[in-house]
Amino acid sequence: MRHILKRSCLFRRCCRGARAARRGTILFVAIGAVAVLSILTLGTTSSVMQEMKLARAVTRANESFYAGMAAVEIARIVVTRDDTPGVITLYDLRGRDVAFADKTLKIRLYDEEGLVPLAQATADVLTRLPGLEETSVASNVAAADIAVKEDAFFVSGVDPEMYAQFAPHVTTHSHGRININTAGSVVLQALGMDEDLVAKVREFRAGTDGEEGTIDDAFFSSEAAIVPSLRDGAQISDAEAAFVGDLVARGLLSTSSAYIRVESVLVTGTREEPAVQAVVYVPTGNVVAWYEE
Amino acid sequence: MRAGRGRNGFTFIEVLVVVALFSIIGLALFQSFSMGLQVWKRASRPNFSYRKAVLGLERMARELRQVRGYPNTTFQGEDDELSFASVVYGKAYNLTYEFKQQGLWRDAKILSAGWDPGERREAVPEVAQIEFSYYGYDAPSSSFLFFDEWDGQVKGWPMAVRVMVDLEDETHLEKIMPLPAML
Repeated sequence: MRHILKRSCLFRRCCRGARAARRGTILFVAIGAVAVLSILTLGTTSSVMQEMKLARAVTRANESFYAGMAAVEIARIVVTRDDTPGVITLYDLRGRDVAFADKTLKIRLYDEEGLVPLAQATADVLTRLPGLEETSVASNVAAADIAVKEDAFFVSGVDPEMYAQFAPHVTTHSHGRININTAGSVVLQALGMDEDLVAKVREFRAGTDGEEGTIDDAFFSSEAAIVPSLRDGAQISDAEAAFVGDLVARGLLSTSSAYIRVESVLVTGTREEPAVQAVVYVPTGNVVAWYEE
Repeated sequence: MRAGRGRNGFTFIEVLVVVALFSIIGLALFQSFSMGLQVWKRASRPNFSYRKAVLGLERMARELRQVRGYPNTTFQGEDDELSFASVVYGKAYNLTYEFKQQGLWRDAKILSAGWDPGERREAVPEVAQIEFSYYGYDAPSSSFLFFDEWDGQVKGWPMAVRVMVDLEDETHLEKIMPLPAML
């Protein structure tokens, strides 16, 4: 009897053990299945994410390109059909925001001929630019055969820090004369104007509201009108008039521009696409340079 | 005592059966895993080369958009090779894209620095066939056509470059790359 009881006890224990083992096996198989499914899900997700990333990059590049082309079209129209035919002013180049659907195309225009022309500038002019104060380096830049602005980076004596300082003020898209209607203070000072004369030029351009790039801006209508306009509108001295007259006579100043840089940024909500810049040759409307971020 | 001990253990046959069963299950599992891995590799391989091709061509399109006139360089195009000057990341380069050794190879020489040994890398790998054509004006027919060759010295820049690529996994890609300078 004891023996039978023992066996039955053993039998019960055995049954419980078998059930536990079965449950263990099911758990093991389930964990394995979950692990395999997780790996497959992770793999698929990563693959889909990569495809989406690639598609987004290609779409963004295409959108930026077409936004850039649209901005160039708008620039061609606004520059050739403005209120001041024959001259380019800061008011002509004011920023434009074009809204369409859920996007905004931000267009900013800059005058390339309001910058120092690298191919024609003398060492004397270049020495007055930030970063090129060292005469020997300015002479090297003036003597170098520079086809694109980026060539200046490789001129002997120019280091990256120097280049970063003077690059925003120079260009290779120019006929050699600087537009006095759009040139900034640094460029006007590079021509040899002192701070006082530069302030007078900018004061004249700003018009009655004292702010440049607004509707009431005054402008120099021709090279011949530069000195008389400054005499009447900015009360420059005889010495200053003689100095500006000399710049005009040497063919360093103009009142118009043939090269305009168009910067466009496509904005969707708060997200900005990479900026695109194009340099447009105004007389023909051709794009002569294209930059993408 | 002997009988009790015997009942608690396994017979030789039972052990053999268990070993055989485990072997069969193990083999089946290994087979299914290895097949799964092979399928995964085969499935992801074309995807990977396709992605590399899309990125390589996108970069080429961007460089073509930034094409620039530079002294002593012209746009030269053939059906399997093209070269042009472009400003990329603040440096002027003469770039050559050439189909060679089952790949589209990109040669970049800095123009600003004078002599430059250049940098060569594979822009699109695993290419079976590639064909470039150039969109421009055809005076005899007074229409715009795709040409197999382009001589920049005579014609300037084309309006667009079309590239048709067959990858080794038989994927076909086609892209038209416009040059804003000519639009």
